[in-house]
Amino acid sequence: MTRRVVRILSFAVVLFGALTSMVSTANPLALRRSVFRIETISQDLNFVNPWRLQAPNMSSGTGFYIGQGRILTNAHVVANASSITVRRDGDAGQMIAYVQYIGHDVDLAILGVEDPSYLKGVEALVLGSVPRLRSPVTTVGYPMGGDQVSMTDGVVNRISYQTYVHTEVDDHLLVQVDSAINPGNSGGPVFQGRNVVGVAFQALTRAQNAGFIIPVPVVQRFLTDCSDGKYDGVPDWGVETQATVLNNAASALFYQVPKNDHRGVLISRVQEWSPAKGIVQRGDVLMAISGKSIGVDGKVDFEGERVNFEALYDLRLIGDRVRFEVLRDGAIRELTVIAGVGKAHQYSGLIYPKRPRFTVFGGIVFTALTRSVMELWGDSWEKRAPLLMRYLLSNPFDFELTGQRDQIEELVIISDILVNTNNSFLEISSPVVDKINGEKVTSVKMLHDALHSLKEETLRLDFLFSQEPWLLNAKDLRAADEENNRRYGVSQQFWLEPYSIDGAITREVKR
Amino acid sequence: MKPDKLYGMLVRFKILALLTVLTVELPAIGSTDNKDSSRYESSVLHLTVTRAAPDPESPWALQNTDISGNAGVVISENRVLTQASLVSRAVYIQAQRVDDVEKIPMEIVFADYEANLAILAPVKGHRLGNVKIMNIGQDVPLGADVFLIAIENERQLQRISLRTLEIGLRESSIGGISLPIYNLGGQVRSTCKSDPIVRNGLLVGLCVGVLESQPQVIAASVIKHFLGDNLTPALYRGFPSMGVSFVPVRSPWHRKLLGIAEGKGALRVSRIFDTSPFADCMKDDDVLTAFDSVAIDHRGFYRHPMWGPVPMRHYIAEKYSGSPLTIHFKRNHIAKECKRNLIRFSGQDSLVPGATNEGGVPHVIFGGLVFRELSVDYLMVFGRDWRQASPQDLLFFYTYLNLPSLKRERKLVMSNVLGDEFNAGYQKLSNLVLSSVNGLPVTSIEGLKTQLNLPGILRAGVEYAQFDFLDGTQIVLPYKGTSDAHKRIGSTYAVTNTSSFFSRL
Repeated sequence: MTRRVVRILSFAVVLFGALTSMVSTANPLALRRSVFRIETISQDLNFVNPWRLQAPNMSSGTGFYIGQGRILTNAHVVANASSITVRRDGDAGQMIAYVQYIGHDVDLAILGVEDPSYLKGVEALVLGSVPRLRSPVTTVGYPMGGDQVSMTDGVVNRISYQTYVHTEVDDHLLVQVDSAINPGNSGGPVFQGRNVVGVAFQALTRAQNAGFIIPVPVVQRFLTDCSDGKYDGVPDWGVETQATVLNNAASALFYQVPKNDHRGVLISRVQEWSPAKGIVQRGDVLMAISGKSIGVDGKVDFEGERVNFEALYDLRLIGDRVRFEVLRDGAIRELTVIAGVGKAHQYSGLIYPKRPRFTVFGGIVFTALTRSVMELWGDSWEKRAPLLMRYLLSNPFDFELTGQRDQIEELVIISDILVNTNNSFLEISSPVVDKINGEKVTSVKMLHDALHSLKEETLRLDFLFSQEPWLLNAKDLRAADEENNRRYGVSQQFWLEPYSIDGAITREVKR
Repeated sequence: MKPDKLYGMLVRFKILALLTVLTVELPAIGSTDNKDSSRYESSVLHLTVTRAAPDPESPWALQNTDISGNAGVVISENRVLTQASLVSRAVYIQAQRVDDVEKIPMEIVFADYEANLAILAPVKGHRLGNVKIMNIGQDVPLGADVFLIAIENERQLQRISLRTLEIGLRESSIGGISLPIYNLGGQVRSTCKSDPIVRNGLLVGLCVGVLESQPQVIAASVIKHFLGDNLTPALYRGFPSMGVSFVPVRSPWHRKLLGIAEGKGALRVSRIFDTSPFADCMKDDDVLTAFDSVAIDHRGFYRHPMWGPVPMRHYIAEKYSGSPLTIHFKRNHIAKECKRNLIRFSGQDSLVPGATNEGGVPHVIFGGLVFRELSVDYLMVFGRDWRQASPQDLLFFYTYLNLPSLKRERKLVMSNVLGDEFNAGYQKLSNLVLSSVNGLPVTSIEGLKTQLNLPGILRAGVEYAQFDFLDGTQIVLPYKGTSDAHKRIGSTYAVTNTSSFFSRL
C-alpha cells in the first residue's frame, strides 16, 4: 500500500452507536448483552517534554464479545489507557479489562478481562461478510447521551479505500453507512441480521449521517494476524503507482500494452526499503494482483464493488507471497513479492508508544520527528509547522532533495531547550539535527550514545539546511544536567525503546 | 491596484532586524492640514498608471488592466521620481498637478526594482510645465519630525505630521542588498503610494508601504545613491552585495574556539555563494572582524554617525557595485584580509527568482502540458498565504534550495494540463517539478524547447517525448499530433499567442 501522507481534515475520530427501534433484518436487540461499554482513563503523551504525560482524560467507547474471552474494540478507544473497565448493558458492576492485542494501523484492539468468569454465558458475536450497497445495517453501541445501549438503522452507501484517522496515514478498506455514528459508538458492532458486518470507528464531521465502519475482511485479517500471539501489522509494499495513464492510447502503445487490454497502472516509484525492490521497477505496468485484473483506474473487483487494488495487498499477512502480473518490455511477467512491514509508517503517522524516544543533554531535549510531534502546532500544523519538518514527514525518503540517507532510522529534532547558563544563548534556526561532531545522526539512540561517549571537549551539532552549527562545551553541559533536572522536574533523562506496530511496548494496560 | 498585487510587491522584501528602537513619544497623532501642503502642489504630481501584467495562472494572457493612482516627485527638469513597483508593467502613465486638468503622458526612463525606485519622463513631444523641483535632503535622525504629503482624491494634497521612530534594513530575497528603511510613527491611511516625506521643504524619503500601522520609508541616502548612479541599463552600477552570509556567534565556547576575544565583535561566515567576489579568498567559519577599517560589534553592527548601531550590511549598501571592499577576518586565529570589488546581485539570479517586473512569463505548452519556471510570481498564484499554501515541493525549493547562480538556472514546473483528447489520462496532474525530458535535465524554458527539438524516444515506430518528474510521475506523449492538438487547445482555451506552443524547428 502506498503510505503517502493523506489527511482528511474534515474527519473527526469518533465512534458511536446509534439507536433505533427498528431493526433491519433480524433483531440485534437480543444480542445487546454481548456489547460492552468501555470506559477508559488515558493520559496522552507529551512530545515536547516527553518525560511528562498530559492530564488524565476519561472517555468511553464500545466493544463486543467475539468468544474465547476476547472483546473487540477500536485501538483509539483504549490508546494510552491507564485504566480500562467494561460493563454490559443492564449490569450494575464493571469489570477491569486489559489490552491483549492492539493494531493502531487498523484501529482495532482485543481486550481481555481480569475475571474470565465475567464473560461466562455471553454469546459470542459472529462475523459476517462485506455488506452489499444499499443493504440495511444496524449500529449498536454506547454513544454519548446515556448509559444504555443504543441502536440506529441505516444503509450501506459506499465501499472504498480511505484513510483511517487514528494514525492519519493508513489507508484501508472501509464501508460508509448512513446510520448515526457518534462519540461513544467507536468499537461497536454493526449488524446485518445476527452477523457483525463491521466495527464502527469514524465519521465525517461536516456531513450528516456519514459514518464509517471497518469491514469484516480487515477485522478478520487482524484476528488472524494475532492468532500466533503477536500482531505484526498490515504489510506495506513501498511502491507508488500512477493510474489513468493507459487511458491515453498513445501512452498505452508506448508501454506496449496489448491492444484491447484495458488494464494496468504505471509503477512510478519503488522505495529503497520496499520488499518489491528488485522485483518490480519504475516503468512497469502492473496488470493484476493475486489473479485479479487491475483496471486503468487502479481498481479491482472486490465483493461486487470496485476498490483500490492495494486493498488486496493490505489483507495479506506479513510473510505471505503476493502474486503480481507485470507488463515489462511488452511481455507479461508473473512476479511474487513477500509481504513485508512498512518503514515509513512509524514516524509519518500518529504514534502511540509508551514514551516518545528522547534524550536530554545539557537542557537540550532531543526527540524523534513524528507526526505526533507536529500536532504541537495544532490542527492546522500542515500549514503552521516549520516547512522542513512538514516536508520531511511527507517525503521521508526524498533523499534527492533533503540529502538524507536510507540508513537513517528516524530524524531527530530539538523539541525544547530547558534554559540554563550553558545554553541560554542558543537559538534554533533549524530543528532537525543532521550531525554530531561530524557524524550523521541516524536515530535518537545513536545521538544519545554519541552524546554520552563524547571524548572531545567540544560538542558540535549541525542542523539540516542550516549554516549555523552549535559548538558547545560538552563538560559544562553535562555538569548542568543534575541541576537542570531538578529545576525542570525532568524525571527521566531518556527513553530509547523502539516503537512497535503491535503496541507491545505501548502504554495501554496490559496483563 | 489589486490588494494581492500590492502585497506581492511588498513581500519581495523582508524587513530585517528593526533596531535601535528609541523610546520616542509619538507626535500628537498625525495632525493633518491642507494649508501648508499647497506649497508642494507644483512638486508632487499625481500619477495615473495603467498596468497590464501577465496572468500568473494563464501566462499566455494578460490580466485585466488596472489603473492606480500614486505620487511622483519632480526631482529635476522633466524628471519624476516614484516607486518602481507601482509603475512596473505599466502600459500607460500620465502625470498631472493636483490643481490642474492637464495630463502629461510619461514613460519610464529607468527603474531599479531591487531598490524600488524609478525615474519617469514625459513622452517625446511633451513637457512638464509649471512644476517646481524638490531638492533631496539628508537622512534624518531618529526622533525627528517629518511630513508625509499625501494626495487625496486626486485633487488635493494633505500634509500629515509624523516622526521617525526607528531605522531598519530590508533585504532582497537572496541576501543581496540591504537598504535602510525608516519606520515612522503617526497615523496615515492604510497604505502609502510613493508619498513623499519632506522636512524643511526637502525630500527626505518615499513612503512605500505601511507595515503594522507604521509607514515604511525609503531613506534619502538611498534615493541619492540611486540618482547619483548612471541611470542607463548598460552603465548602472546599483546597490552591491558581498555574496556572503554571516551570523553573530553567540556561544561563548564557539567564540573561544574561533579566537574571538571577550567583548570583541565578530561575525562568522556561514555561507559564501559561488558568485561572490570573495569566494576565492574566504570560506565558511572565517571570522569577520572589520570592513575596511570599520569595526563590528558583537551583534554584527557598526556605529552609523547618525543612527547609531546599524547592521553591517548597511555599510555595504552605501557603496556602489564595483567599489572595493576590504574584509578583515581571522582564520584559525590568524588575521587575514581580502580586498575585492563588490558586485550587484539580482533577485533574478536565484534558482527561484523573485517577482518579475518586466517582460512576459517564460512558458511553453506541449500537447496541453503547461510548463513554466518556478518563481515567486508563480508561487503567488496560491494566494496571499502562498508561503503556507503552495505545494510543499515548490516551497521547498524556494525556502531551502534557492541559491543564486550566475547561470540563472531554474526549476521547471508543469503547472497544469489543458485537457484535450491528446493528453487523456494526464489531465488531473498539476504542480509537478520536472526532473528530465527524454532522460536529460533541463534548467530553463529555453532549455526545455531545445531538448524537445532533439530526437525523442522511439517506441514501436512512434517518436515520443518523455517527461519525468521529481515525485516519480511520468508522462509520455507522441510528437505526432501535437500540431493538431495545439490548434484545438488554442481554440478551446483562448491561447491566442502561438509562440506559447512548442513547435519543432
